Amino acid sequence: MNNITGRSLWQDSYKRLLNNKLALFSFIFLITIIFLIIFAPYITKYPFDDTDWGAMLQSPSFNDGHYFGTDLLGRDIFARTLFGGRISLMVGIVATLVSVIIGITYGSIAGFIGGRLDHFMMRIVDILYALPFMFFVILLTVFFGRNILLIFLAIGATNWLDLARIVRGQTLSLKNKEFIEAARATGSSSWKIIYRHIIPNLLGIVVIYVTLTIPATILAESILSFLGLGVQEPDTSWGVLVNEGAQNIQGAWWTLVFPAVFLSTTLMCLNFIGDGLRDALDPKDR
Amino acid sequence: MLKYIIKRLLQAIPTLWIIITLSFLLMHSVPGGPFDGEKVVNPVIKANLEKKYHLDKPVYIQYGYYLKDLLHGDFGPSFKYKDFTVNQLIYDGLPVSMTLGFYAMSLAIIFGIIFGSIAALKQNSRLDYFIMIFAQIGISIPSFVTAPLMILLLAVILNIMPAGEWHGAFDFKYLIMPIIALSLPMIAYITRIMRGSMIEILNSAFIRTARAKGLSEFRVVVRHALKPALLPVVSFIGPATAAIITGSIVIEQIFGLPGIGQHFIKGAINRDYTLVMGVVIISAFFIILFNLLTDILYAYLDPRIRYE
Amino acid sequence: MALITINDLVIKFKTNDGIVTAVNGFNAQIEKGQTLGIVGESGSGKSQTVLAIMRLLAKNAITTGNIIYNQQDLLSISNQEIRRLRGNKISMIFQDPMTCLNPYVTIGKQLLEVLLNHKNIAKNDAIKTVLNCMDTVKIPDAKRRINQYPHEFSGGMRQRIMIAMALLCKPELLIADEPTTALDVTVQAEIIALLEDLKKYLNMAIILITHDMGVIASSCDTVIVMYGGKIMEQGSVDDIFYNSVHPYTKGLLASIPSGLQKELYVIPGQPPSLLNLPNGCPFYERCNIHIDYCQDHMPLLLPVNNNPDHIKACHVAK
Repeated sequence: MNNITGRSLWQDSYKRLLNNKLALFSFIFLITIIFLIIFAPYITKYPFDDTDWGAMLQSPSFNDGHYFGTDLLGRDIFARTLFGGRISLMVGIVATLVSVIIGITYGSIAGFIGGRLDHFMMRIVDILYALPFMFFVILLTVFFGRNILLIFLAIGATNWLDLARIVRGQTLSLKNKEFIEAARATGSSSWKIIYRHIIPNLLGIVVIYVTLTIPATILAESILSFLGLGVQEPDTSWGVLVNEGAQNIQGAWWTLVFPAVFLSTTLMCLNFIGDGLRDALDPKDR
Repeated sequence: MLKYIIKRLLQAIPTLWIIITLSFLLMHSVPGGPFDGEKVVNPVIKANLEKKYHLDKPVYIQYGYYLKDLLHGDFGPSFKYKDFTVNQLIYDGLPVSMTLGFYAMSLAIIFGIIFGSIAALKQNSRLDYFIMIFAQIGISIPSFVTAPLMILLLAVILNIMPAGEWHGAFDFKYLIMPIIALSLPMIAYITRIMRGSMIEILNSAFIRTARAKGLSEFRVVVRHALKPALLPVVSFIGPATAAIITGSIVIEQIFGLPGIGQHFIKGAINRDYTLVMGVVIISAFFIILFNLLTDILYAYLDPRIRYE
Repeated sequence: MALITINDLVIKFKTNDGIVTAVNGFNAQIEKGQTLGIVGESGSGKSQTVLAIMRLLAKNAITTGNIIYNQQDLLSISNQEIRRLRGNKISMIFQDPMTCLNPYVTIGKQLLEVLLNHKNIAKNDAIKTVLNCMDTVKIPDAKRRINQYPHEFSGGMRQRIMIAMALLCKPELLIADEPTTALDVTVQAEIIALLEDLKKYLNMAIILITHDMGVIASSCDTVIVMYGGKIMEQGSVDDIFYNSVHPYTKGLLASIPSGLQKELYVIPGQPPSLLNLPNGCPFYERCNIHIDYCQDHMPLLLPVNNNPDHIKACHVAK
């Protein structure tokens, strides 16, 4: 008997994802970093904002607990890197959440109402696409103060365009009456259609979008902080640390290298995972 | 074709106007003017200055003045640097930023297309794999990380390249590091785009037809695959311009180059309205211009769009 | 003397899920000036067979057997040599002319390059030949339209352009892979008629792949019926239509709708998995006259009624 067991889309994707070694390694790496960051208070010997005038610009050493050395003010780089990571990741996640909310809302309204409003809303998206958002984020943070909430909102407000477009497309296809009529004709209720067809499609896309937007938002926050416009003292983020490190390049490479490595690796891992997810859910003959 | 160009022009102008208006509103929605927070100025002088710059008038009148001046190509005086007009500051900084941006964009396009094509032609080989990994790394590592690391390695440790000065558009010793740092993410993006699009084209039906006609592989790739494969790269040049402009703010900061990015940051911190708006408008202008040019180029390359 | 002889052609593909067998032993002889029709469902292997002749299979294909043309095995000659033949001695047209023509290049250039690539001919003469050819395939207003792009033509016109492109060098064999499937019914008839005329005019052989029995009936000399990568039945068009014995062939013929039917006949079941081909007859599951022996024993191609030109692969049918 020739029995072909059908494979659902999810099973196929899952298998492809697991085969993607790069994505897998990145995932493990990322989990490790997140682990370190979450348990920072238990692994760091020194608080991150504790200045120690007796230990300025000390190179990394295992013995006294300054694993990554100290900075200009004698603060422990290891602790600063981990605690800075908290801020960077938090901004990344929250700002992405803001993006997702704006994107889904905007897109579904445009798609649902359709017609002239949809056309108009999409024209705005086209225009916004062309703009350098960093400019406006910088302006916003300079003028309205550097509080962290504003940073979340400002960065989140710069990344929602792609998601809005996709959600709008999906909503339009939902609205398509023939589609619904056909489903009704075969006995499905509208909720079943939404549940079975629209949401799985949308879910995949949102997941991919999130994994690719988080690095973008972390990056945006880092640039802001690097320019001195981001998180304020005493908080720190990877962007701030890289900035500080860049100023001490000559003679104190550890102030730059460790935060830079953490930042870059996190971004890379997220990107590899995002790529892997995208390939798994929508393979284009790699 | 002409109709298409005109149509796109007519779309571009309102976009620029919206940006001007948005920037203006943003600047004026914030408390504090350019003359606050300075050393205490004689209130009479302050009042006179404010009158001179129309700051005592309602917002919409200030807007009107601004638009009028803009149409004459006048960005107004810098509020901060009393002896300079914004025009002067921009004219000083613009060539630097433009040079940087031009070199970076050219590098990105040339190498992106080359690497992407090679990766596509040797799909799934080890070379392809490595190119794609490097591309991913190039995208992930921010330029404000690569730039200091480059300085650390090349200028400080190995001492083979100078860092942090501007010696004109052709003294390459000073240009190499900033240009590479700026262009690296763009090279990576374009490599990925080119590879993906080339692979897709090479698998398409009309390429099979070209092979079925007995054409050499070289002819198939160059005469049939290359042009359509370039289209997504052309589309990307618009957003790439925006990215390079924002990237150059960081690069100019790190390498201490006197471009308009620096003016922007200083102006933002100093509440120098006119300077900031000038920079934003010029940047927006270039972005819109490049978007327009690439749209036209795209229509030139794709005959199906031309005749719509 | 046959123009092309195909011996024991087996085509497999290496995929992530395993090895897929698309063609599982194909033998045929294509005679000069004759039209061979290959009919079968999607996945029966018909397209892969003819792509093998042109060596246009995908990179992950594993091919065994040989295809003899002009005393050479097409499967083992060099890339340069096969390119010399493609578009020149052996040409191919495909199913969907919309996607098969390069939308970014004028049809004039696409037509010219076939000639200029294969023949040592001056450009002006080439242009004249192209214009003549366009007239022959009945593309009106050739002189003006030669500089237009594919999207400016209708589907039927595009297929004519494809045909013109294939015939410019006067090939000995034209392979047509479902040339009319993507076209309107009325246009279908025109294209088939055009191919007929050109065949006579150029005395060329045609391999015509289709799943439309009507097309087979009207234009083929011999017919091969394929299923699951194997030949089920083969014979002259009369043999197949009037004297078919194989249950699959009979099923196909019964599926041709006639205006008087109440219900459309459909062969029950699904095509076999090409990953896990059965040991026996691939048609076993769906066959209405199968016996147990069929399940594990591959039937050989044997003559029907002692007629060597009419062969079938079936244990049961006589």
